[in-house]
Amino acid sequence: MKETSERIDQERRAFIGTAAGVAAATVAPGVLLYTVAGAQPRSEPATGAVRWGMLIDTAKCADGCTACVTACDEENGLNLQQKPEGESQEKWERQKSVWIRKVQVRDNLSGRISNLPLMCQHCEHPPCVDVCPTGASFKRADGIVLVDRHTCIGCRYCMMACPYKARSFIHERVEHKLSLVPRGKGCVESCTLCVQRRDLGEASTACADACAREGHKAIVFGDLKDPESPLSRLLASMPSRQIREDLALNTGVRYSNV
Amino acid sequence: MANAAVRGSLLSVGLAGALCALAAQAAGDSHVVPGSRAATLKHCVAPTPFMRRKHMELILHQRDITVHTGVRSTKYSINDCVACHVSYTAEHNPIPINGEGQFCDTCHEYAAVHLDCFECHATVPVPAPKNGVAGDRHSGLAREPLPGSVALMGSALHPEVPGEGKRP
Repeated sequence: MKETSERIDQERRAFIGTAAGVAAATVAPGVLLYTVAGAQPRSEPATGAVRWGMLIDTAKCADGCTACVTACDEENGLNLQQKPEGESQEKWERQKSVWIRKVQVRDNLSGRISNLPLMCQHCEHPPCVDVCPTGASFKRADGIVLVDRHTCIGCRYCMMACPYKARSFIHERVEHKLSLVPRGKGCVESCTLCVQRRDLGEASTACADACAREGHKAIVFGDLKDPESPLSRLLASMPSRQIREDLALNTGVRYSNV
Repeated sequence: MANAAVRGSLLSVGLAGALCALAAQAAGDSHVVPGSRAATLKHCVAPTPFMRRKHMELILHQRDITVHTGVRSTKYSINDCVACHVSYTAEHNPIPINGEGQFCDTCHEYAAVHLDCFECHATVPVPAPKNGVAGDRHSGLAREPLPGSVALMGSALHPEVPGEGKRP
């Protein structure tokens, strides 16, 4: 009995996944493609031929360095957030949107400390998608877990379902935002693996670029399905793990040396 | 009796005139803002009457395609709407497109339709385009050969429509 309740029901998850796929397919007909010389934004729908992911080497992640967080904030306009008038600093720190958190974990027995950036893990079986009542939380064909802000009603079930505390809720009117990253009050949001960069054909994410610029090179971004990608080669060559492996979510973000 | 007939006909003429004026304000005249990129183009990504009636359906359909499949190269894009229709102050600062008297505001104010797009979407191109000219995606569109003049959306397509050729 105990075993049955503990077993992960992938079939149920698969059903929901198929439903999302059907919904996406019904949207597709009638697409008017428009090609432009010069800039190369995506003109074909993202496919399951790739799965975007990351490997984070915690041994290389420096204590006190927040370059990835800062770069993420700038890329996605989170640095434009303003504390509402009259709100306490403490509450603001708790409530403002954060897509990457720097986390420190300590082994109680050995005392060994690891630093790691924690963001949306882009699960293959995302719990946030399972619980979303409106279908706003969804997994794109290329493995990126996203929120469709047009359909998000701000119920925050996904925030409760996420084992990684990866999502934030926008509590106040957003005065300043970027053209490529629309954000607004009443929606949940989280790491998009820089989806705008993916669609414009750029190679990496803001956090991985910033980490490399700092000289740490702790974050490697790439295609998990391409065995020749630097990410896949690295994953094949060194031991890595998922955070909360026990949930069998098959995360797209992996960690080594934790 | 004759007086009554004259009064009646005057009234009907007056009413018709008032209706015409309203209609002209609603649909006939262009609301493209001077100084915007759109002001230098003959028409939008589709003929003006079509855009006036259907723009909301175009971007509603487009948003699902873009968010769910990542296709961003299509003809219809709210970022391109903003980049093309935004106007600038004398200091070359962009004016929010939904601001009073700006492109979105004029018609939506008239039609009393609340505009939700800009709760999330940026009302000016952010970051500002580097060459100072926003949105060159639709450079293939026909240009109006009237430098510095006011745009007349649809005038080239429907030159016979009264009111389309003038701005108040």
